[in-house]
Amino acid sequence: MESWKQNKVVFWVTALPGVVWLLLFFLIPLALIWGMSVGEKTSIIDIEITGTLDNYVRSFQAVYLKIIWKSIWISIVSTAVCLAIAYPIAFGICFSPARWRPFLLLLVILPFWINLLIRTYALIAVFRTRGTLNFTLEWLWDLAFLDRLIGPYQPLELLYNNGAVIVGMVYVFMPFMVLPLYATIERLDRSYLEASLDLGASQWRTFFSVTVPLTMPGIVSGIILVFIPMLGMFLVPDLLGGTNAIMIGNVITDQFKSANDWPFGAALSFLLMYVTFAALALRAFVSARIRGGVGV
Amino acid sequence: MARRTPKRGPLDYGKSPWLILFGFVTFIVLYAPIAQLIAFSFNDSKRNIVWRGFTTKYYAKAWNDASLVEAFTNSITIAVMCTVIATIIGTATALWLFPVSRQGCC
Repeated sequence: MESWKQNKVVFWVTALPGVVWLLLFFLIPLALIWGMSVGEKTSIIDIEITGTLDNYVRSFQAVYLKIIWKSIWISIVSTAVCLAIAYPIAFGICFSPARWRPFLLLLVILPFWINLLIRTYALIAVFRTRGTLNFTLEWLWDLAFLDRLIGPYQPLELLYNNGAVIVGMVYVFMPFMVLPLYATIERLDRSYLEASLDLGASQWRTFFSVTVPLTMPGIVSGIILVFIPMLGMFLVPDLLGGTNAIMIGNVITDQFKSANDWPFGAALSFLLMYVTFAALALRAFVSARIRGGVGV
Repeated sequence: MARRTPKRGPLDYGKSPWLILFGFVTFIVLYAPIAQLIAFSFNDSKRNIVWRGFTTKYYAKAWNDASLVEAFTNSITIAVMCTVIATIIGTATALWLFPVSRQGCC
């Protein structure tokens, strides 16, 4: 595979498409948005890059900080729930009979192929006041004769709150969590588990002291794969959370669309990106320390 | 020594009833909303809250709506074009990166 080192033509033919594409359609637009984040609006459509930091200062108002913090904690809770559900699923699939595995994996991936919008609307049909869940609960309520004891069933307001957003996010992002977990658990050397059980550790002890540490790479990549898109999600909070559960993604969308304040939207987007980078750096730092502490 | 076949070995997590139950419940929760949405596309009611009988009129409506058919054709055309372009660029980049990743960077 050293051919490209000698063959300049092959090198450039393979290198150029990707590099040019990324440069033209990713780095340059991103740089433009970054420029806007230090610019200001001069008219409805004109933005002048002046090097001002006003947009960032405005982002640090309590309102926006609160929304950023809310986005972070909603994403953390959703990621945690996702992990708690996805790990047993991935584990179960890995330990299921070999001929079942492709089918079970397909079952996990299949919702992937259904449009996000459709899946979110499907959830609305379940959770709305006159939705399936409330009808089911009412039916159970009547079945238990509670309507004669306490009174008619009061439908629960399940939509348009933080809980709905969390449920929606977990529902939408579950497959993203299962796949990396499956990939690592699949490669797990089961003789370690046997050794642990042979040496007298209980199943739970084996799970937490052997299985979890050995599958940590999968857990970490799953968390990153799920947490970062969740942080910037705007569709799910918009449809399931309404005005009660605004996340930073919604604020940014509003700045670019209805408020027509691109510089401020750009500043907020980059602030979100800095938070993401900080989280990734923290992760790299922690894993480096763990490796340094254990290995050396 | 009495030989009895154990129900399951210590590593047969795939046979654990709790794990199977958990998987069942998760898959039902994952698919029920989508299945419901599909089922209600055959519902003879605009508000889609109560079942009012089977109909395929919404499919006929979608099929006969010229702008909808056009939008659908557009979607497919764009998706095919994106796939072709992404495959070409992605393959070229992978061919370029593969030797690099194999040999270390310099």
